Amino acid sequence: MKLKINGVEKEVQAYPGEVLQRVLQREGYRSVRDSDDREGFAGSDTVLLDGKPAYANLVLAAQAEGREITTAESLGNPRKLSVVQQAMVDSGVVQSGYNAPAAALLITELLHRRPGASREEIIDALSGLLSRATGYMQYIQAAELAQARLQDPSYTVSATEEFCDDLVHVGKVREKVDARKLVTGQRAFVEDMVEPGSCVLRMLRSPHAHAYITDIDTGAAEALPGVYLVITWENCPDIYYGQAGQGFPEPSPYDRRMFNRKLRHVGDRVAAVVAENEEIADKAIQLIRVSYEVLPPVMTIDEALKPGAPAVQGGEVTYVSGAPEDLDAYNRDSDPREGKIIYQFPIGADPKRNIAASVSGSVGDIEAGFAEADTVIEREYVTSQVQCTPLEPHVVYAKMVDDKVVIHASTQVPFHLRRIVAKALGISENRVRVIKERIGGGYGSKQDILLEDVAAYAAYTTGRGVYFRFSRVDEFTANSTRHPMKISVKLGATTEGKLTAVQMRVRANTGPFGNHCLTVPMNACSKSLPLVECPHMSFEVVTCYSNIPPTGAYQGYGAPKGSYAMMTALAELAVELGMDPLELVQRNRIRKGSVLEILKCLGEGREGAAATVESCGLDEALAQGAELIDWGRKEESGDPDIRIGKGFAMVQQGSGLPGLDQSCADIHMLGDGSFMLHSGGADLGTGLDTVSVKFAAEVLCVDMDQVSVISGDTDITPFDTGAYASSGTYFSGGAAMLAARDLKEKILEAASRMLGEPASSLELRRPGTIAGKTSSVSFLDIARFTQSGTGSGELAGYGCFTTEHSSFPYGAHFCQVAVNVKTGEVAVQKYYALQDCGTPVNPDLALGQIYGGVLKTIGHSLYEEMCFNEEGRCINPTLRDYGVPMITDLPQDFRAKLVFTDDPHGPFGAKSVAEISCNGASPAIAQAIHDAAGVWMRRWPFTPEQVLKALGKISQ
Amino acid sequence: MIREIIPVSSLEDALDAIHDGTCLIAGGTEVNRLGSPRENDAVIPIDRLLPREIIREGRRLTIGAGCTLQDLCDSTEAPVVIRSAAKRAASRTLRTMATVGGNIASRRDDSYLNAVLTSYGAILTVLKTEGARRVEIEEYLLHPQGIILEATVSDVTMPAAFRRISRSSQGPCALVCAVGYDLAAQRWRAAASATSLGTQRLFWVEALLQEPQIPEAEAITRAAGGEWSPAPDVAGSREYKQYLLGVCIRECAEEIRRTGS
Repeated sequence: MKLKINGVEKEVQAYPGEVLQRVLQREGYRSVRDSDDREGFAGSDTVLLDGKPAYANLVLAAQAEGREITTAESLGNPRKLSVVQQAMVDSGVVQSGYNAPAAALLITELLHRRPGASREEIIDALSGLLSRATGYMQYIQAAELAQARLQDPSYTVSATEEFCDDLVHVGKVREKVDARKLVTGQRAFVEDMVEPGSCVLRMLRSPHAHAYITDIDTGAAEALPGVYLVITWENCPDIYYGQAGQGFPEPSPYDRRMFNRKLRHVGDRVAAVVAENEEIADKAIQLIRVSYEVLPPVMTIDEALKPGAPAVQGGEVTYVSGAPEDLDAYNRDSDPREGKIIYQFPIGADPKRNIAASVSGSVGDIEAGFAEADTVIEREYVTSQVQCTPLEPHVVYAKMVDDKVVIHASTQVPFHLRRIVAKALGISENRVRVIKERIGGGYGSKQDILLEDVAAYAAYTTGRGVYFRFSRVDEFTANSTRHPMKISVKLGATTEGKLTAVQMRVRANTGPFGNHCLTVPMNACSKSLPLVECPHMSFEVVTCYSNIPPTGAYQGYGAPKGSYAMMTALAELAVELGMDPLELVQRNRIRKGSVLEILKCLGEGREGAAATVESCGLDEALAQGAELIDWGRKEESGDPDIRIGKGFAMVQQGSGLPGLDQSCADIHMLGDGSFMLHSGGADLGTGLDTVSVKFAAEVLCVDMDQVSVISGDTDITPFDTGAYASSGTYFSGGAAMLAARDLKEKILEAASRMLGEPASSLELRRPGTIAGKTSSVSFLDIARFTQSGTGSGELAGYGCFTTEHSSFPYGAHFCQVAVNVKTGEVAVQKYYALQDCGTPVNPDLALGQIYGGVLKTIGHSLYEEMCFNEEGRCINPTLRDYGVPMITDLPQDFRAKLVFTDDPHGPFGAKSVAEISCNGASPAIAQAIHDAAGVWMRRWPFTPEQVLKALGKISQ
Repeated sequence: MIREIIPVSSLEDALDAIHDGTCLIAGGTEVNRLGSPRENDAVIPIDRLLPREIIREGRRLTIGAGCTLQDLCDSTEAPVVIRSAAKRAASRTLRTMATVGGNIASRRDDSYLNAVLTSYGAILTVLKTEGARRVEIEEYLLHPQGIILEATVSDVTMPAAFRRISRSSQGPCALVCAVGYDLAAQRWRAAASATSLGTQRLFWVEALLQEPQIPEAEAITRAAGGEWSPAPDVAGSREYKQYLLGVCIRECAEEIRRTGS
């Protein structure tokens, strides 16, 4: 058929009934992507048809014949952005960037249709676009900026505050280094790397939550022409490993093989088919005959911990170190069909009773603390299982290059991925290369190895390129999610509001496998208990196995749940004491100089250490937030059924894992005096590469365009533990800074030889000059000198960032809600997030991170929920039914503010920002609902129905 | 995936081409979407054959079935309640694709438009093998046959109101309900859309509303217990939806009484 695309008529091939998006992708229009498998919701597939927005996934190619098709490729290119694309880049909204081209197209259409568009019209224009990364606010700012520039091309006002007058790049709004590529829809993601002739991999998934495979017949599937491999538990490597991308030795158990005889959740792997194309693979999947012995599923924490409950992981247990003496007796009745579990060291597990991990600890004397109290309260809070929903689903492309498995991955942990794949395939790490492509959203879920192991094995076995991409339903059944938890908080306080004892008991549900089973629930304690000073504290964590879909890392890790429980309990205590909750917090919170003793017991699998708070922006964050929201003033709606209330929460996170994480980088001076930086870090859209370039450029006194960066390629870049635990800026950025400093010393040494002056008398001056007392040399001169036949060789610097110091980011979130006591609806009217991230390196991107983190957690608190039927099947596996927030859910007044502190240990004073932003919304909203309507919401999500139940309007 | 496209040059040809395993397609947002019951069908595109005008003659409004929901939102001829229902039905991108005829014909459980048009007493003109026929919208929703050509509201000045309750702005609805007051007949009209029931005209609610006083929400909820029983789903329990029906019907009726619109 003929299609007119961006003004050019093209002859294209299309199958009958094929949707336009597939045809456009095949024709090379990469900007038209797919996030929802024809749900008509996420908008990554947006095009204009006859000038009007349309989802290309919902249009048959045949329907587009004779119509004008416009894609984002028509707007601009990386060298010449359109006004809208430039405004998006300048507003910091291009982060993961998967549907940034679609956003550019929608804003362009709006401003063409409606010059002078209002905020409401901007929101309406973008109402069909899902953004998980940046929380939409900066899309509005970008549209307004573009609008202003269309009227006045010289308009330059930035909505973002800048920091650090003494620095050139750090603290300043600069273009994100990959923004131009992403906003114009260039080749950037894994799907863009698939070579013609590659195979596809399809997964047959378990229909049962808990079952043994009693028989599996793949003969008919294997006999189908075009099928190259079928993998099952019978022919996969007999190697146990874990999916958690954590530093070795991992605290998570090795409790799975590539395929297992026992199935532990609906959606678990039964068989993989590698075939010529999707149609053949799908047909082959249907030809596989499987018999199951169905077992009773265990879904909840209470069911799992009930005496006599079916064991989800009942296999033989072994320990690499620290095995208990009675291990042989423990293993005596193990069923071989269950497989094995290997622990690197003890984590308090008792899998035969469904306990995946347990730990407890205390400081002071908790019972004495409660005895001292005038008031004691104990409350339980329940959090639900929620999804990361990255716009780019989990995806991998693996191929063989000579004898090496090359994996194009959308991963937060390239080096852990290399290690785990090498182990799963039984080969050495030098035979695996991981190339991290741009990541279209991860939020923690791409810290786990969910599909790369199978694709790599398939490529290794067949010698063919293998492409494997999760469907959206796969995301809901086989992706890592937030652990459901029940958290009990017991607080004791004097009449004056001084805490005497704090006790936290966490029960967590890890699902079928133990990835992150110790560390996420511990994190619920380690990021909330240290918020207050109290001499007597204790905690207890028990994590259970079950048959829900897998859990794992999710932005904030365990902190959003611990923070919800801890801060809501403090608010409940304040009400018991008749105090203002903010006053109670002020009397008990930590300050700069506080020593966090409880961290001695919260080492996440190793011995912990007390830490001192060396920078803390809580004073300012709480003060500014209280002023902004007009704390203490009671608002009225004028409608007796609409009650207004206010709430707040103080929040904390970490900046990587001191003593565990390590990041390395090297930087080379090229022949013309420019630089090539190799960072082991994994930029998952947050701007880590930009941080690294800024740090290097700042140290070397050059413009950012003089530093190029390659990151996350295990054959090229040095080791890095990866992008998780809020480590990117602090660790990976720190490594780039150290590498640049190392190179700077070498540059000065070379200049010293050239100028005949001691290095100590030389000065590095911008742009790229070494000045001596009488003369100077440029970086070009130095490069030519060192790279000549008589030179010392290419100059390179190396940095390895490790630390024992903890640099905690802090923040305060305030909100105002309107509760309709007749319908139970809760509207977030105002939300102010004030974050101390030390030095904000990329202030515009940091604000986007805050908006994104907050809106995710507003979603978790009010809308989002994975619902299951009795058989353990998720019954709402679509973005709409699951309830992700859209731009139409934004608080009416939504502000993120950066509170500057200069951390003594962070690179250029920086701390983390992204994860902490997830910790405030739940407790702040819960408190505001109580302030408005007098009921406490102790269970996620706070749906209208739950509010009505709490109000006694309908039965519990 | 749609397996075949059957091109036609007239709506009459389209009517002839309808049989088991085929379906009509206009905007495509329902037929092509994930989980569509028609995704293995052959489709008959009619988007270019349907009337696309929105015409106001006196108090009468005629909406061509080929109008998109966005056309309806943008129309200054349509009453605010109908425009709002069209606007809140979907994102702008979907609204520029989805047609009014397709939206009615797909009979979504959570349809805003069908509830509101039912509360207005809309009449559909439907092309059947025996020619164009006029049917009440609630009759069409019960027995969908033929190709919708247009929807007619005889009195756009009729006071009406609607409510929609869901967790998030674009998430699944627990309830959509609409109430109108036919000034000429001095009769209330009420409709609701909910999971498992689709859009229904609520005659029992209309009877309650005919009383001199607007009934209390609890009375409507109590009556719903025997008359209106939507299935529980991710949007909420049956009891919750019945409770909401009482609250929302009363709110709509009060709004109509208070504002007359």
